[in-house]
Amino acid sequence: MKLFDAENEKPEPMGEGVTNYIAITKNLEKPMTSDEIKDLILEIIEDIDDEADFDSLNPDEPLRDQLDLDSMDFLDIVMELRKRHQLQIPEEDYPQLATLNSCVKYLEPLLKDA
Amino acid sequence: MKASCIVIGGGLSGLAAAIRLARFIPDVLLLEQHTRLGGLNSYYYRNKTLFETGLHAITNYAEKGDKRAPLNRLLRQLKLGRSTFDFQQQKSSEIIFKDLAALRFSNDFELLRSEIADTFPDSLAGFDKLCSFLDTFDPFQPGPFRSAKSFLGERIRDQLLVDMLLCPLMFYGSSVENDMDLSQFAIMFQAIFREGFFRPGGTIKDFLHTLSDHLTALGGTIRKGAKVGRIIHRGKTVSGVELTSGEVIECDHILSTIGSFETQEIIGQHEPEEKGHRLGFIESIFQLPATCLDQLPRDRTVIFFSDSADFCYQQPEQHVDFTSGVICMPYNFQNVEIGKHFEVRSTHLASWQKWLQTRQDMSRYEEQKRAVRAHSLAVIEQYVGSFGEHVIFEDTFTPITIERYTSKKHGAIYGSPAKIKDGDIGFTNLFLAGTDQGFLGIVGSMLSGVSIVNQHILPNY
Repeated sequence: MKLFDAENEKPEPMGEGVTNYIAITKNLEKPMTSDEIKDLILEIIEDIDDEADFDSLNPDEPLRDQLDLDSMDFLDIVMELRKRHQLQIPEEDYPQLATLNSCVKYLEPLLKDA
Repeated sequence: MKASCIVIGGGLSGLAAAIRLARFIPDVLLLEQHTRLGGLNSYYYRNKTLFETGLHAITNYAEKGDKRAPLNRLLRQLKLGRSTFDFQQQKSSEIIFKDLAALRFSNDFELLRSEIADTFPDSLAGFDKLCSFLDTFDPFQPGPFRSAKSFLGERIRDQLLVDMLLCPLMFYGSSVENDMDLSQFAIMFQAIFREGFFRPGGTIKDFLHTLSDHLTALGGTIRKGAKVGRIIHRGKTVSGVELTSGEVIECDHILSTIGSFETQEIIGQHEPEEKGHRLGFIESIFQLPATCLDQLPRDRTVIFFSDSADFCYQQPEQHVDFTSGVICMPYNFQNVEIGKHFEVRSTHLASWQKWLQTRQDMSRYEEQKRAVRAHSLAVIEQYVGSFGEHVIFEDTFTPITIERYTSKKHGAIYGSPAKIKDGDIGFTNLFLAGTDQGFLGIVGSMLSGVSIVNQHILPNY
């Protein structure tokens, strides 16, 4: 299962714990990158359905069809985003969360202030 | 005291609704008037033995990987892993219309189809057509009542087969006399014939514990012995409840699972009594020593029977209608460990009014219960063989018993004949779930709780 892209999985050089720590804390203040948003969504979906298969996921195709999710599962994504990032997503915006890429597009500006 | 959401009623729909809410909202409060949870599906002790009430079998069995199946959707929504439960499937069940025909079915749909092919060859094409219609039919689309009986009658040649197919679906979930809504038929057909029966390992008490522990772990609170006397509201907005003890609990949302009429009563709106009868049931338990296991069927889990071709599903004129009923043999689920005892249960339609009249005289009522139980025993022995002489404990729940312990009006386990499918009873923050919302059975009632929470409370919280 490829949840993270290969670059992020490269081992960190040794002996740079402090620098890493600073980098991490700095990272927290930075807005989420699109890859981080993707990971967040996939992590939420994996939490809903531990059998979800992301291997052949097309980021431009609806998540629901590809992962066999129903509207009830979909609500879980919205509710988890609210729980984890205090995002209030109005019902009329739900269609904008249809694909992985549309999620990124919709959530990127919202998670800037998070 | 203040809560975010109050769920009234600690039956399975209330428990499921509260779990769903507590996953995302803090301070969820579940109120149950009795000292035990479970509503219709609960338990009691006699002679140091636990006896279950209500539960015969859970419908909607599904294998693990089937994501769309109601059972798996429910478990995902509640975040309960399948491995939490040890599901035991039925061995097989049977519909018997005495001296006329018998059809076996199991969790493998092919068995029913092959039985129909053997017994009703002229109706097989019609049955297959019905199945392909149901494959594309969406029973959740709101619409007016459509008679399942006439729909089937137009497609299936043998009227006997129509009645035999309807019999289990009616007994396991119809609040309407002699017919059912086509949507309800489609849901029940799927639940019983396509998916089938199972039960959780252990007892209903263990099952209820798993749910209540899960709710508590998510931060929800359960209060038992807390009966709501009044829902506090101004116009179409509710602001809390007053318990019969006088205690007031404020809240932002209320979900009531106690029935539509029963909810109106505590709002202080007295709706005129609905048209049509509420259907009452009577159930008897016969406990037997394990030594007589060989005398009873070992491969039938539930038997639905009718004494004649003319199967009536309606409120009887007499105390009990013995001409049809259900025999449940809970020891015949797979991998059930049988201890020193096992039991056989019988269910028939019963008249709440008749039992209420008899109840005026307690000794007559007890006498009537004994007589009815003996009669029921004689009836079911025709289907499973005689075992009466070995019975070590027996008990009977009349519609009055059911009404007393579950607060289901008239002891009608499937509630009002009129259902409110969207749970909307005209308030901005009070909704209805459970029996009178229209999903029936354990999986159905739990999904009812979940779906009303999803539809009305979570998006607006």
